[in-house]
Amino acid sequence: MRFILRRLGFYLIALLVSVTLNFMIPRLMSGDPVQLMFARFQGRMDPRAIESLYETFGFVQGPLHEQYFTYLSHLLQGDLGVSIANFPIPVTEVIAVGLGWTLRLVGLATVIAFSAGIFLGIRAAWRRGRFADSVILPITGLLSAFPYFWLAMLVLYFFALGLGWFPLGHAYSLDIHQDWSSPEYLSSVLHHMILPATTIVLTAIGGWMLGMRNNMISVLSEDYITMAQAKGLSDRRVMYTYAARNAILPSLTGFAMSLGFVLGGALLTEIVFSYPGVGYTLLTAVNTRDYPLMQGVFLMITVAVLVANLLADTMYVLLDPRVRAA
Amino acid sequence: MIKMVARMTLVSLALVLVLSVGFGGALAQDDGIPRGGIVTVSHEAFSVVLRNFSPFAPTQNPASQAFIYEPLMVWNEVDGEIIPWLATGFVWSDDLLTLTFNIREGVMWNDGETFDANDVLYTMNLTREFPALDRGAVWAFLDSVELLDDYTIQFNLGEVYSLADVLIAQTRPVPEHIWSELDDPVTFVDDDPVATGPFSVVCRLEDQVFELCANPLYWQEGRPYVDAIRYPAYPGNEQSTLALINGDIDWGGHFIPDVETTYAAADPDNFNFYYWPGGATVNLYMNTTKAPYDDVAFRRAVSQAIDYNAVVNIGMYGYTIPSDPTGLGPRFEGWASQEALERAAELGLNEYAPSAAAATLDEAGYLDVNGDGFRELPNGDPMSMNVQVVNGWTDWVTSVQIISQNLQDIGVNAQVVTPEFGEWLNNLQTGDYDISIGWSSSGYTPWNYYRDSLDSSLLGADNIANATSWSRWFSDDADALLAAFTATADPDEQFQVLSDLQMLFVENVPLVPLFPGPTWYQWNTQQFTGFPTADNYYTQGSPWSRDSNSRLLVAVNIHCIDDTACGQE
Repeated sequence: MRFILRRLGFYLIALLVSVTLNFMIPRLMSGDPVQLMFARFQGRMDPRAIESLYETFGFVQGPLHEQYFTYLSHLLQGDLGVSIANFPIPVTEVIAVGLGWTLRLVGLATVIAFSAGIFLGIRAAWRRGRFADSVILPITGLLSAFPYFWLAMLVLYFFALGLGWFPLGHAYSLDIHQDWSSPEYLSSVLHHMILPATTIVLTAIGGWMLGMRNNMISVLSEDYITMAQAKGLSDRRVMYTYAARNAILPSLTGFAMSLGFVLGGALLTEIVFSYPGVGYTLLTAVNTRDYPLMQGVFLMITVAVLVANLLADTMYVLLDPRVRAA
Repeated sequence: MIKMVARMTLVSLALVLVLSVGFGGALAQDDGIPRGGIVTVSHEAFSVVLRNFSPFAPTQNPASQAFIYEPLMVWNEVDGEIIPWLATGFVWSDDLLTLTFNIREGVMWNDGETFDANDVLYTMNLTREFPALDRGAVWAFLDSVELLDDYTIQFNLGEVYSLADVLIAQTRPVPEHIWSELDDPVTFVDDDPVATGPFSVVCRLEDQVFELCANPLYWQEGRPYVDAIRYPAYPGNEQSTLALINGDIDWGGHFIPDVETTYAAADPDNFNFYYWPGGATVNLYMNTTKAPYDDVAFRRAVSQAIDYNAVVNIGMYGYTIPSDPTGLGPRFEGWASQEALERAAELGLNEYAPSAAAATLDEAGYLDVNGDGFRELPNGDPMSMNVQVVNGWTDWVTSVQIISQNLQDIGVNAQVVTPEFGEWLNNLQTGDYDISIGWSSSGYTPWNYYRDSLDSSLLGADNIANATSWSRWFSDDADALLAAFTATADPDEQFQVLSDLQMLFVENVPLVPLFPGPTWYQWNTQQFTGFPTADNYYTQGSPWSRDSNSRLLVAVNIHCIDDTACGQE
């Protein structure tokens, strides 16, 4: 319990620091959101009209310390402000549209990649030099080293444009109305999810598998494994309950981190497959110097990573008695 | 007033033309034009749809302009006509201090209320009360607005500003009966717009697509011909190009490299493109506050060193033509000053002549004194420069690579740098650059091109170069000429002022015009027709035209090719 409390204290400090960084970092970029917005009209807006833009976006123009305190006080009230690039839509609404899709696609793909990677890693370590170890491991390793954009484009051209098995993009067929209670729509969503999810899983699985395999191998050389085998326990029991339970601990931290980063979206996947999500929202925010939107996305990611880590810490306590003692 | 008469003739001519091609025609279903179908449009990258149709939001949904909220008059960029729309015409007073607009009768908001001059008056006063809404900056020259009767409204100018007519004509009235009830019109997310436009009914809005349905109460009887306009989300050029090739997009405004083979060849009978070279000129800007760019001889040498044909044919894939030395382009041919063009020819401007460029530099004292293959400044200091271009704007990047090679060929040490868009703009505005490619401004007359580049008032107090005044080359002569242009409405006087401006431009080379910006435009005739074509380019075809309303002319004109092609999708 003391361990958890100490961690909670640490997370609180981390949150406070990151709230300040979320405010500072976007503003360190060169460029003025109002001038950028004017520039995007490429000479089709009268120069005198920039006054009206400054009038509109006065809230990102004041002295930095004033903006900071406004930001903090609004944050305490749960108000993330109004997006610049999507003015006058509130930041929370802008993020909300992409968030659901990101959670479904990237969340699912991350869980699949982790589970499959861990499972394959266990098998590879247990039966070293056999199929999982000598064939699957190098293939997944190779896939994770692929430049993602290239792999995704290749998959898109081959399976969507070439063979026509999958759609060219979007999260659902635009000929079907968006309606979560319609089976037709749901199947369209699933169909549209296959290619993007597959590319994410393919590139992520290798890392989990390799990490798990290596941890497994070092755990397998421990005396208690030999002891367990000597006691005549079944292979299954030794493999999962004795070896994997201990070997998975380092991977869990990584998994917690990546679950937190799920909320950051998968920018390249979103672009290649025209898939909605937080990644593109963040890209737009950066390109337009949309400070409130950047702050909002960063805050969301920070909180998610912290919460995920807290969960991982809790899991540690449950799985590893040594931590409980400490 | 000659100008007034000229404008009025223009307006009435436009009226005749409009009636003759059928705008506001009386024949509804008996005209033989097939109805129905959903036209899919794509011209801007986006990934998710956000419900915001406010006509004042600077980040507005591109459709709010024109298709939903209509302007008083539509300015056709191709032939320069001002076509009556929600207003039927305007008259200048003799002293050029009042401007009277006649508002069209019989127009209804899509909720059934009547539209009249009261709404226009309300809109004008709204933008005065909330400067944040004055996107057209009309209150910079307006003094007051008053109603003469329900269909006549008078604008009183604080000073003579002869371009006021076009600017006021761009006003998009909003309904008084809706907007006057709002707490804060600035932050109003207009999710269910009440407007007059042909496609002002938001009938579908989902995470990745939205559709604007035809307004059943539209004032042009029988129009629009199609049921709806659909905007699907495509986050990037690759995705929209794929969709175009797949036939998913009927009306596009995208840059496609090698468009003949990538797009048109996929269905030569139906996939069309035409890149009208009437966009604003793309220029090479030089930071004239620094050596050697402060030396007109050096700038002239740059103008002589560039292989314009290579830039246009390789960098721009042959989609445009080299600019003339005045930067006016084919759209403003009628304004060209022969004197200025002759003077430019004498100076060898905008003609690829490396030897002439080298001679110009020799003469001005830029010589390679230390023998490293590159010229030094006249005082012997080393000279090297970065040529800036926005990262990822591939056509411009290639163009700039050619230009920097051209400069190297005459012994000028130039390298290409590709900062990200925001950084690029910041460098230009703060004067932290040497040479850069960049766009320029377009307007109803060539005045905007020169004003936005040369007007000294564009240099802000914080030393920020606004609009396209990035060269930071200012002069009292230029300021005086720019002011003289808007102080008169006499076409002859205006022509003379603009000729003087052109002369000043070629004498001083504050920037080097490269080529008129091509306007990306694709259309697919598998299901729909009525688009502007290369042979009948009745208006700007590209749906990408930020503040331009000419796409409205296209939208009310497109229709199904026959009764069977546009089945229910």
